[in-house]
Amino acid sequence: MKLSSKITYATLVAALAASVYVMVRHLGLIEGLDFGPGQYYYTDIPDWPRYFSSAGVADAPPVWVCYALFAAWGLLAYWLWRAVERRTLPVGGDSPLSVPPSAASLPAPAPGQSAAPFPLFLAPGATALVVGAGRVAARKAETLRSFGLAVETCSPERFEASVVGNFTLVVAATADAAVNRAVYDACRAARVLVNVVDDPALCSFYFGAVARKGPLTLAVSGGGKCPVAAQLLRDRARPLLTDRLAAAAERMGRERETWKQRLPEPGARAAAMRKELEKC
Amino acid sequence: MAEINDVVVADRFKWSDLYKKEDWLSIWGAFLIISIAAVGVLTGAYDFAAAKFAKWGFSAGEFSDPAKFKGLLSIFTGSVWAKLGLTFAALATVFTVGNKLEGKKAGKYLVAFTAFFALVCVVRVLSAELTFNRYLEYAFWALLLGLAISNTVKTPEWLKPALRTEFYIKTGLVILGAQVLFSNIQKFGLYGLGIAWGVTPIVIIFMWWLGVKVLKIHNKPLVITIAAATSVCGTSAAIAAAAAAKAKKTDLAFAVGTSLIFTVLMMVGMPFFIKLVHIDAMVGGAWIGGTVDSTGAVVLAGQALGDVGGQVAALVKMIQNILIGFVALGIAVFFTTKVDRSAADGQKVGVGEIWQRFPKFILGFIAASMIFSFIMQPTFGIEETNKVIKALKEYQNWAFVLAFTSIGLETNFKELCGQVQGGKPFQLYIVGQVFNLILTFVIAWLLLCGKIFPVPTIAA
Repeated sequence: MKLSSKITYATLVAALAASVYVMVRHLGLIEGLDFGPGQYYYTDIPDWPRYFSSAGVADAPPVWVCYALFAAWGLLAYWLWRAVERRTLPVGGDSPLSVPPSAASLPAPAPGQSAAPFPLFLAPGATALVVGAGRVAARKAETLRSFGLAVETCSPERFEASVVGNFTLVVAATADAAVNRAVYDACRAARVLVNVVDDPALCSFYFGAVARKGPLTLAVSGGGKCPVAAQLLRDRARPLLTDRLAAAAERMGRERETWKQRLPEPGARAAAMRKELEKC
Repeated sequence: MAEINDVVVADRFKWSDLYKKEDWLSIWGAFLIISIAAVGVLTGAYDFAAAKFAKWGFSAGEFSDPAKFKGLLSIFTGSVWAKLGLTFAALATVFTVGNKLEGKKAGKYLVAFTAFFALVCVVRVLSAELTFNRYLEYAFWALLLGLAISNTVKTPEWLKPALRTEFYIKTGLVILGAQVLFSNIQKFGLYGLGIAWGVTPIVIIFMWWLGVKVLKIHNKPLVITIAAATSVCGTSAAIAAAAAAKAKKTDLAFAVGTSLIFTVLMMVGMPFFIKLVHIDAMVGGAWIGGTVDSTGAVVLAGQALGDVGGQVAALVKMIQNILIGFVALGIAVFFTTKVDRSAADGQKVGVGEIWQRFPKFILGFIAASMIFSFIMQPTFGIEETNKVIKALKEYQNWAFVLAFTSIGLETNFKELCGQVQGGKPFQLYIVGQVFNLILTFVIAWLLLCGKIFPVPTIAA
């Protein structure tokens, strides 16, 4: 354990012990005043108007001056916060898509071979490991779960290369480049699909822009190059994904056997089903 | 409480969102409670206030006076039972109708909620014990009892429909909004504004920088929840910030737990230190008001310095109490436009999607505050407004107890320990609080020492 962690835990234990001592001995309370730190907000305090509604400074400035100063400082502080966030982005875990230097070293597609990724829809029941403890990792895990994958998560510190073979695919969403690299290497060695968030060079599969309704899934890929275009296309296509169409698709899935009996010839059956669906 | 799903199913605003989505339903539910309570108070026709257990003590005697000792059974009077019935009816109606409109099964919810409400009553009875009430109140007991159940006998499946943490928190926060009277911002003039509002954003930004850049905590909602708890006002601010940043349930539990421990210590330690080194009572009171997390602890620690110290501490804290909604609004805007935007694989999102992600309940919070500050108070006067707030207050507490108990029931210890990350969030709190202490002291001293600006006269 790091020294800083040891000091932190020691401080915490001491603080905990001290606060228990304070409570046992009733320290800090005042006889006749029937409240304490447990009264979090001002209205929690019994008889609060006595403390908060009466007293005031004798020569307060007009209220609009206070409002103006309040708003001005608030906006300035917000702007400052944004500036700090912009500067912290490169080290934060949620940094935007960047083109890594290693992207150039990707093997070029052979002549005549398409560079586009092959679309693939995994059947429910596949398993996934998400490495990372942050928001992006949680988001990825949630996405995968929403499609019926059995997802396990692990923090970057606990990641072990030996486990990746147990999963269909692995997602690394950590801010630590070394961990991301280790995940990628382990997956390549075990021939497991891997996606390192925000690093196309370390991906053997990409996430797409997705819209979903009932059994219908619309997925668009920018090929790891232009997710915004994929999103735009998804958004343009989304109005086509209507409730009625989804409900009809669901219904036809259930009535599959009936359709088969009625129209045994696959071509004719498909044409009839399509005609039915086009009414939606 | 994260609503994490970047698979957007429908991002355009639909009018049906207004009666189908949790955020809006929490606003309507809260406004319904606020309106019924307000009409009851203003017309004097009925009393809609929710139940509150009287305090009892198992440590015989309150301080030194055994005459004040009250047994546990003595708090269950007839009127308490009647009030409990009213509280249950009001909350069950609001939340069951909400669940029904969201498309969930109302019957299952109502059964689960009934049992859950009984459990929450146990939490409230425990936290009404004299010592516990003063030092810890509901958040601690709700989390503890919930955790104890979920980690031993396991939370039963049939109870789970009632565990709607976010719904309870959002509804409670909109009710809290009504208690934020904006005109109080003027009470301590520019002194109060400088100490409470001048320092707060700087501490938040400092802690953000410390947490995200220096300590490299990847869980940004956790960072902002701890920062809000430290700089604004403890538990209430942590709840608002966590909901605004869509933090995980464990993030909120963590921030609140840390704040509870250190508040107890600061309440005792700060007046002791101030008297030890002979700091002026006014400067000391302002220092306490600007730094101690919980409002109750602020008033006590301030009073320990005498009347002036107590008044100044309360005035400064009052302004921080007002800040909650606006800080939460800033956090919500920041997270929906900056953090979430960059988290979605670096894809920029459109205005429609930003709106979709924006936690709408904050609009309800601000609206409630505006109505009470600029319509209710000028029309009916401060006395009547305070009466309405008193009638409302306990509904907000019940909503938060429901929320914290369901957090406990949905959390396992392993998950909570996973949050610790080598003690980094504690380091964030401790270093942030030290920074807060130093900066607030400097500003309080500059404004109130009398060498630069005239010392204000406090009028009762």
